Amino acid sequence: MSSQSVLKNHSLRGPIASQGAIKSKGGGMKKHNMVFSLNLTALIDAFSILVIFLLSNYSGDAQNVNLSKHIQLPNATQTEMMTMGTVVKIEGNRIFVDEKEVKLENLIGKLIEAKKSKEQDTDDVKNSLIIQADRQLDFALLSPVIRAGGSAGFNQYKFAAMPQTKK
Amino acid sequence: MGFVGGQNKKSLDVELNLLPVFDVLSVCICFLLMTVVWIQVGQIKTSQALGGQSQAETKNPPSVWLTVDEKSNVVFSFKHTKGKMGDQTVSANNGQLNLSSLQNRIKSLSEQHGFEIALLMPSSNTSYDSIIQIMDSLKGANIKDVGLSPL
Repeated sequence: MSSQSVLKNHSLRGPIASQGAIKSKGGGMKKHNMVFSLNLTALIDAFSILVIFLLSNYSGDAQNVNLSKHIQLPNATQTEMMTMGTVVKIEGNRIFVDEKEVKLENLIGKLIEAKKSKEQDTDDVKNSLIIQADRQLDFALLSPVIRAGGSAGFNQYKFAAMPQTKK
Repeated sequence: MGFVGGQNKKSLDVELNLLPVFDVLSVCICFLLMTVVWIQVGQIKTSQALGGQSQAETKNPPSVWLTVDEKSNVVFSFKHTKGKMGDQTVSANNGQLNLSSLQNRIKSLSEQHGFEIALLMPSSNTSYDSIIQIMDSLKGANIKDVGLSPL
C-alpha cells in the first residue's frame, strides 16, 4: 500500500524550502540549498511529556506553610496532605503566628485575632492550628503554644512533618 | 497515483503549523514550573487531650495513655479495657527513645485490645521529633484519635 501512496512522489518540504528561493552562490559545482526547516515534532513531544509530568505532580491545594531554613521538620510516615489553618511557627524561643512574630504573653490574643480573621472560612480551616517546629525542640517550648491554642478555641492541631515512605 | 485532468497539481500534504502548539506548551511549562510545590509538607492531625467534650457525650472506648519520662522511658497505662491491665514500660535505649520496641509494642497491644484512643503525655525535655515518631506509630497502629497533653 505504501508504494502506491500519494505522498511517495511529493517531497515533504516546508513552504520556503519548496520555493527554493535561497540558494548559495558558491562557485562550486554543487549548489547547496541554504534553507532548512527545523523539525519541531521531536521538541513538541518532549514538551508534551514535560507538561504531563508537571501536571501529574501538580497539587491544586494551596500550601500555606513556608519552610524556614532554621527549622528541620521531623519525618513521619502517616502524614496527610497539609490543609489550611492558622500557622504557628516556633524558631528557638521566637514564636510566629501567620509569619508575624509575637511574644508568648500575647500569643492567646493573637491566636484569637487570627481565628476571627478566618471567620468566613470553613470550620476545619477556622479551628485548625498548624504547628511548625524544629525536630529538636523540647516539649517545654511547645506546650505553651498548645495551651494557648486550646484557650483561643482551636480544637484541631496539625503538626507539620516531612512525609516519608513506609519501609 | 497521479492527478488526472487538472492543470495545477495540488499537493495533498498538509503541513501543520506547530508553532502555536509550541507556544502553548511553553507557556504551560513556565506556569507549571513556577507554581509546582517541590517540597510537599505533610501533617499529623491530632486533638488536644482532656476536657474537649462534656461527660454526657463521652463514650469510653478502650484507650491507652503513653507517658514519656525524662529518661525517654515510655510507660503504657490502659483505660476501659476488658479486664484489668497493669502498666507496661518500654525502656529507653541509651537515653534515646527505643522506637522499634515502641512500635512493636503499640502494634501488638492495638491488635489485642483494639484501642481507639491514645493519649500522649510527654515530659518537658521530650523532643518534638520523638513526639511525632510516637504519634506516627500510634496512627500506624490504626488508632484513630491521638491526643497530646500539654504540661
